[in-house]
Amino acid sequence: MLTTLKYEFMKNRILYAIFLGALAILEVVYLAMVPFYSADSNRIYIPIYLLILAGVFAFFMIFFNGISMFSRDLKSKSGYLVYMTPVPVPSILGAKILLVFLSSIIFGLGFFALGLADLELLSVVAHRSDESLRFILPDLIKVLHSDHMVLFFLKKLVHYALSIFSLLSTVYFSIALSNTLLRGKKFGGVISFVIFISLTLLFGFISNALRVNHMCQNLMEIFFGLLCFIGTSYLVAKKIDL
Amino acid sequence: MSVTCTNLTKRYFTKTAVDQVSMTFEPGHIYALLGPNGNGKSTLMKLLSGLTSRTSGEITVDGHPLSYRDKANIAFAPTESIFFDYMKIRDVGRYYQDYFRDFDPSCFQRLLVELELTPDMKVRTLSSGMLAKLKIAATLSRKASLILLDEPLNGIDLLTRESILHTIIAHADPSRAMVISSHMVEELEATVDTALFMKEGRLILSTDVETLREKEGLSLVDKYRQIYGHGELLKEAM
Amino acid sequence: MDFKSNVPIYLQVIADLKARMLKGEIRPGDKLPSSRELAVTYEINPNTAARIYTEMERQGLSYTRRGIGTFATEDPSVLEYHRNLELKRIIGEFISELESLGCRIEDIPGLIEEYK
Repeated sequence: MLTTLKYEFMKNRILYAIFLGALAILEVVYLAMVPFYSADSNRIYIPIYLLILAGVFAFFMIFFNGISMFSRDLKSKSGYLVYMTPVPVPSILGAKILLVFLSSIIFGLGFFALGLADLELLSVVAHRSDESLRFILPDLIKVLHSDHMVLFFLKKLVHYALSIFSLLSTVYFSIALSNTLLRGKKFGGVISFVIFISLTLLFGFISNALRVNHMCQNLMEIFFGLLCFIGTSYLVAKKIDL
Repeated sequence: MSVTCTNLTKRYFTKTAVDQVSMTFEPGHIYALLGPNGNGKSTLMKLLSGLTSRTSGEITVDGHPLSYRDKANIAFAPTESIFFDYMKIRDVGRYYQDYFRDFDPSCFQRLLVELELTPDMKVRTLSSGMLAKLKIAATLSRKASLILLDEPLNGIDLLTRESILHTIIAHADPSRAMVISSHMVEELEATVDTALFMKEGRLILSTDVETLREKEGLSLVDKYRQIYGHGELLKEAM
Repeated sequence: MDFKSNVPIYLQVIADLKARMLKGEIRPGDKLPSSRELAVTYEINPNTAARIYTEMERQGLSYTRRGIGTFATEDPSVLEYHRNLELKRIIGEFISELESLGCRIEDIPGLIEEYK
């Protein structure tokens, strides 16, 4: 799976290079503005907010890229090299999901965190208190200055990983299903979307019907994600049509 | 390792691409898969390489059903340009080396030299002839038990074609089966020992090339015309 | 080598090897290439090449020493026999070609004199 992960990354390296470039430029602009900081000018906040915005943007881009590449690999010649390797399908899917998880954290969260760090730096430089940050994420700030920071982030990370897994599995399953049913006819994307919405609603409905508590709800989410993952593996392995 | 299809069928909504094909590919043979476009040759190869799933029938490898593990022993060079855009020729070699234990990097280097390709050429900028040569180099550098070449000579100039055929013969081995699909029947004639004729998804004839000449006095080209020519009586023979 | 289309390829290679033996390019007792090498040199299928020596051996044109290789026959009578066979064939073709142009066998020696 790691080899596949490496090549999934390589296939996308231009995208990541762009993100890295944007990150570098914004950060350099910010750092260049720091020595000239004056309390009455708010211009220095521009690169910071752009950084944070870019983080959000990068996150969505990575996510959509992960989805579109999966879809493309199932329908066109771009998938030949991937699916002719002696790798079990779950491993291939796992690599794709893992890449989205890792790159969304590095770039999405990375941008975001850098933006926050910049704000922190600013408050130090300007001898201001954390007031400017308090506008953004009060809880986060409290945590950053607490002892439970690592645990907090770890918990969030695991939760995020499982959410990405479930979400992507459901999306992949929708795509695989529409691919199998439609055989590459025109409205594949629309059908996938409809299936996805239906599945999500269905899972939500089942969860509610079973009246589960908060903890079990997470487990249900993971369980449905797993079902979709297994379903996708089956469809891709047995119904692939390149 | 022998690969057997039993009543292999691939059906799409609008057509049956492969229709009840039964055939065993034995090691030590070079097969020509013949027939005009649209008669199921590429689909058959994709079925054997696991890129397309069957509708019915079976594919077995030494008796067990075809699985992802068998892809380690089956090498397929499709007609399309399959390599990732960012790749240089050396990246293609790396890719094959990373995934296929039977890949021989020094063989790949040798073939690149013979076929006049260099490792730092960008795949994006290769002409169709060079791309065909690259696919051959990568595929034949794998000591796979079943090698499938889909139209390896298409769009290639004469000298390169001869070069490719020469390479194919040089890499033939008693432990491997090679299947070559092509329109260039005449050029393939001396290279192969068994010819498989497909029509509308069905395997209508499997014959040893020399036997065809001995018994019927026909070359593959003659037989091809006989089978696919207009207004000819079609004999279904196995 | 360019192959004719209605004769088995292995027979055509044998004809070529035989011609070279009769011309003396391949001398009696010379080691012949392995059938694999033949496949590469003549650009033919290895299985097809494998039939070559089997048939040549049957015709007495070569012999195989296990583990060492295949060799051109050293027996001069075999070569003489095949030479005569070939001469007969060529003369036969020659005569029938001329006959098809309207010549009579009796005229042929005269035609040859004129040619010289």
